[in-house]
Amino acid sequence: MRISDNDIIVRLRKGDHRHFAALVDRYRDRGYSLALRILRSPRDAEEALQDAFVRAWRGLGEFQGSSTFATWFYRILYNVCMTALAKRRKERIFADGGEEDLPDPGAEPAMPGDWSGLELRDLTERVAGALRELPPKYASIITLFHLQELSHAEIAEVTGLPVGTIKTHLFRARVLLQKAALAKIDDERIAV
Amino acid sequence: MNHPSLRELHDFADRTLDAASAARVGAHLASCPRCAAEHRLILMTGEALRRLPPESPSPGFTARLHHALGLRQHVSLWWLVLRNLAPLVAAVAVAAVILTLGAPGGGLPGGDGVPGGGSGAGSVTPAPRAPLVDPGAAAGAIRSVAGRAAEWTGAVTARLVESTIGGNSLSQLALAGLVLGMLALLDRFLLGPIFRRRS
Repeated sequence: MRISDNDIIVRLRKGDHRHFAALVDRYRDRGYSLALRILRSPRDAEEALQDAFVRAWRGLGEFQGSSTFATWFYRILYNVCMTALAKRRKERIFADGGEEDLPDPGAEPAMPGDWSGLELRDLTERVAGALRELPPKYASIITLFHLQELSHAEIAEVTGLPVGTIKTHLFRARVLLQKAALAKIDDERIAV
Repeated sequence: MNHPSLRELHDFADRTLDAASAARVGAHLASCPRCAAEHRLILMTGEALRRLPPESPSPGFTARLHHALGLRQHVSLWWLVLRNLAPLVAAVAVAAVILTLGAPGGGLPGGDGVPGGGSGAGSVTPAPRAPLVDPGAAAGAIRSVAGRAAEWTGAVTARLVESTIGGNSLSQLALAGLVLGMLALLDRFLLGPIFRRRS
């Protein structure tokens, strides 16, 4: 029988440290995927994930249980990743003399053409590639929504952004992904 | 025809539109192939995202994390016993099979006059029947069992040594396996921990 996150936390607080491994197993891959999509570097993502687990472990006493452990943990991880990203950008400003602006798709992108013959498998492959190129602010929200399956309200809790902003980011992220994925298919069709 | 905005189509796919707007968009989609195709693409993109498997950190991440936290990874006691005894068990099994199949006269002790082996008849006097609560009788029984075990072990060793001196290569192999197993056990339980602790 699968033990709930809250039960694990109760046992950890009682000093039964063996169950921490179960929490790590549950959130390792999903947490890593989130960190990787924000930081785009396997090494940085692992560092951020380890840092987040260490912070979660040390801060277990602060976890009140008013939100789920998942939301609480992803919030820690998201903040660690954003701090690392900000540090990286700061270093880049000093190195390059200016911050590179991330592309923005605009509020109302144009509708794409006819894709009625498109197979889900083809789209999945293209979306996976396009996701790696998505700006971190969009990649994080799309990962939290589609992979972690958090609601808009939970994502707002994780990121500290208003629900309206989450919806807008999610919308733009998906449009960007669609554009990138379909452009790849277009390129392949032209090449053929 | 008044098409819904792309944003509305996304909100409709996420089911975050209010009831009136959802009804309007739904009715439009039923009659507009272009918007229906766009809606289908939005749903497919969502499905494609859900199908992406989560990625994994490099092997050993959990061990490194436990090390960073100063925690020991929990390992089942049975797994520890099995892992540590495996070399010895394997060596003994191989030795037993080889001795049974390959040694002259076949069979383990007792078959050709080795005392105390085989059927268990031999020279050992059975322990007298006594109530279990009688400490004297219990001690006698334990002594008897221990005596039989010692005789059996001695017989196996004697057979191995005899075969080895006699030049039986299969027995030499079995003896070597047994010795290697003992060394592995010694290293894991005694020498290894001492040296690892020192280093």
